[in-house]
Amino acid sequence: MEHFDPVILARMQFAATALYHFLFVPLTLGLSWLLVILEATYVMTANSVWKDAVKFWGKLFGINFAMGVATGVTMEFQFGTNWAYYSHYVGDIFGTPLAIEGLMAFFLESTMVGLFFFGWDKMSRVQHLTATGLLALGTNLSAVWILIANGWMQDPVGAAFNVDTMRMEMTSFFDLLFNPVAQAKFVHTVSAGYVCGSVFMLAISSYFLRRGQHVEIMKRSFAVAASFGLAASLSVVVLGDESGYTVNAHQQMKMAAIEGMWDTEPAPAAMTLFAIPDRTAMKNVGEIKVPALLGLIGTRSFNLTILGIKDLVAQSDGRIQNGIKAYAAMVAIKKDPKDDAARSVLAANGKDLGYGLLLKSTGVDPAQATDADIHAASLTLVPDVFTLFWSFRIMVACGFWFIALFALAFWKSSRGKFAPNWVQRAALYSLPLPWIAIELGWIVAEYGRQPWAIDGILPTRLGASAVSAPEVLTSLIGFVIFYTVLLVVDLTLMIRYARKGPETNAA
Amino acid sequence: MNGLRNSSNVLRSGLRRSLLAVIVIKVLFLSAFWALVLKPQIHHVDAEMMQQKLISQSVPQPE
Repeated sequence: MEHFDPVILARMQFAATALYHFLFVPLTLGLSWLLVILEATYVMTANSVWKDAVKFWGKLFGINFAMGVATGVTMEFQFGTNWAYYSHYVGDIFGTPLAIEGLMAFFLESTMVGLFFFGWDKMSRVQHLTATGLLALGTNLSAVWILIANGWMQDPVGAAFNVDTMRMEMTSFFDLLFNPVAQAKFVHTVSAGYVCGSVFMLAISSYFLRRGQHVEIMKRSFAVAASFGLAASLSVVVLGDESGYTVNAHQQMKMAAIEGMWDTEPAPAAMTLFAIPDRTAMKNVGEIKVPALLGLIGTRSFNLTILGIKDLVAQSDGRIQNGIKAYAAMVAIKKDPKDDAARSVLAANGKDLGYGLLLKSTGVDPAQATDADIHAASLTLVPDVFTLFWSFRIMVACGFWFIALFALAFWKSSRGKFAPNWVQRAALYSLPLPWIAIELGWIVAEYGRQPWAIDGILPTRLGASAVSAPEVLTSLIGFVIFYTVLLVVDLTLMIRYARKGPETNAA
Repeated sequence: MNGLRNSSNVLRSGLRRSLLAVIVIKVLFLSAFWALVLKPQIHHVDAEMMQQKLISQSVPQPE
């Protein structure tokens, strides 16, 4: 058991529960707005086919919602069990959006989901549509606050270290709220959810259209999913580009790793389409490059350079040197809280304190660090380039495929061609792709942030609790077994009730 | 009209039972798991412990 590293296990546990939770979230985000569109059309036309469509897709939404609810809570458990030092160090800032999410968005969403399912005979059509709209709004507001919290982990604005309380404290709520990284992540993530909901509706509609069943409902659903999905898939690429631009501005190492860019190139840098990155040799094998493309996308200019990994490592050596000064000042202040000279040094170098802590997290006492220790710590800043490089490319390939798929589906539906065709078959086979793309997107965002828990502020290893490997392993196994059972139940119910089709008066 | 009224409850009884069962089992599991496994692992960290972690203690490294 002593072979297991509790920090690695704690990271695995958080990754497993987060990836599982995000199987449900994107479908909730997307399907909720599709329900609003279908129901708004029902309210405007009074045609019961639209109502039958809302009820059918609402049933699948309900299964997804019931299976997904509370899967996010287990992640919050872990802040207390496996990440207690993290919780102390940044809880003042990180906890705020999480609390607002629970109090505002989740309560709104939960109340409205009840009205949606049980309010059909108790409310007027417009009142019910309002409840459905508020349900969609609640799910999206929930995403806002979670992504504000996550955006702060990527770009910690509006906060400062307080040496007396030994934690980060909020200096500006509005900086936290309007963090450009969080805003870019929010719009990219929710639009990816809209794509997920649209592919789901398009694929299941295609299943029934190909079988000639429930044609009236399914051709309408197909057309709505194609239109909404086309707009969403175009948005997700544009907003993903914005998200990438903010990454280049705030997390240069992540950007360089995503692009497998070991050396700084003259501006505008080439984009590598294919390569096998070798982290040990710090080079790529079998590269295929497109000249100038990365520089234009990443910097939106012809003359700004994107730094390569080797230069970023060298730059980090300097930041660690500053971090050592900040760390020494922190130690001096803890010995003598009235040491004003040390406080001045900490104020001057405080932005690099995290880099001093990075050295500490590698097992080296910053007071006795050699140049070799400093360079070794800088090298830990290089994430797993192979995983990031390929996860990103598969995600982007899926994104472009969705645009093509929705464009074809839109073209077919706009011409009224709903007889079985190859676009429907392609839609059906594309059903798993949004989940694959979205999970890979999260892997790029979170795995690419390592070795930081909070970028540039707190190394992951220093945020972990003093729990033993057997303790973490026990809870990890418990979560994996339970979540696997839940997933099997979810898929069984989803497939059974999707195949059953709508219960309707319409043919 | 009757057909519509009969299908007015989106979550029909069979599905509703399944989902309620899932939610109840989920709540029971998480409550038990919390009480037996997770709660004993909860750590409260204060400024002094944070200071110890960042300054005094050595940080264990993976093997």
